[in-house]
Amino acid sequence: MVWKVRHVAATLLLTAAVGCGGSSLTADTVAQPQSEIRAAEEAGASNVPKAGLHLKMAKDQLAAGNKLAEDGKDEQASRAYARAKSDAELSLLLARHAALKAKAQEAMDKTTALEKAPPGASTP
Amino acid sequence: MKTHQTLVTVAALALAAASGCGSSAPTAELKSAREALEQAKLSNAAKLTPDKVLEAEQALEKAEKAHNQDPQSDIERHFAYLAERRAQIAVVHGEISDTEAKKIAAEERYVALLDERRKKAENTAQRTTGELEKERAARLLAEQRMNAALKSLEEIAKVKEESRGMVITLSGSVLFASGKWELLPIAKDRLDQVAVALQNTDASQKIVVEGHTDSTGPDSENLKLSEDRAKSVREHLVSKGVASNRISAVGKGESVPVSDNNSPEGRANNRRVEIIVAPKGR
Repeated sequence: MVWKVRHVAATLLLTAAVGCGGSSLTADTVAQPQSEIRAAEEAGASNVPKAGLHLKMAKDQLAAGNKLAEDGKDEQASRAYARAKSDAELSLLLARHAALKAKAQEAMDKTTALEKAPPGASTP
Repeated sequence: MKTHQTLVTVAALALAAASGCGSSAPTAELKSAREALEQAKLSNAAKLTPDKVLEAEQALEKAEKAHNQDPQSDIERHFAYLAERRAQIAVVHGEISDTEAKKIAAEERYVALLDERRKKAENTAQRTTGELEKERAARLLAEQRMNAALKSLEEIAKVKEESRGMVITLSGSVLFASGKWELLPIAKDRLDQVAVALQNTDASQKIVVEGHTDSTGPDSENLKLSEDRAKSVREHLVSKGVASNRISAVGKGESVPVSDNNSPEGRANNRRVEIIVAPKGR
């Protein structure tokens, strides 16, 4: 909850800064990693060890970016958000791959079972 | 003035040396990024998702540039970090592509196997239906032949269904001369018809030829005569195609009369040969 409030605050600050036209941070810069993190979470990254690790790294980078943005260190914040985005992207892909691997294994097991089943046996 | 110039030169040289050392010592992040890119190039990604590997290469170029411009800097670390992730992302893209292909191949194989099985099952069903139809037709034909043979047999013999099976009774006077066991010529013609009928019965049905006499004369002689007559009939039937392993002969003498032996008519009835076709499975 605290994390969310901070993010909203950071986003508002950024939006205000962008409005002033003097910052390298844009609303997209912070929205993109947030969106990737959400997608990774929805894909079940927390349940896949390596994906979970990168999800945590993404969240840490995002938090660091927010702190830097609050301190007015826009350039550094922007880089932290970019790192958060790439970690979240990797996390999402790892989670998707784990799910796909499970489905592929299921398909292969089903096929092997059918190959081994005698003709006329009920198909799995 | 000279001292000042010397100091500036020394400082410039020291700076250049320091700068040279920096460029030859990449950050740990850059080293990791380089290794990650090498792994990406060796992975399936190089073949399956080369565009992702190219993105990783471009990201590493940025990191290398930052390293050359400002070694050991945060900028170098930052771009190296991103480059490493790009390389890792490229590897996962390759793995996803490979796994997807394996999944599709397994699914296609499954569908093909199901199709193959369905076709085999259909073929078997068709063949079974065909075989059943053939079998039914053959059985019908055999029944028709059997019925025709029995009908013709009824003209020359008495045919009766009993618990011991189908009993074909031939009068002894038609088959043999008195006291003899050699078949009369007319008897052979009749037995030929019987042989045809017997060949139309199921091969698993056993056949017994029983010889019977009236009570005239000694028992032992009657028994011997009935045995010899039964054997004569059996031999003739075998010679006409009835399988020898399914037919046997037995003499009953006067022991099983069907009529009264006190009248000529009764005795004539008792002088007989019975051919018994056992029911199936006995």
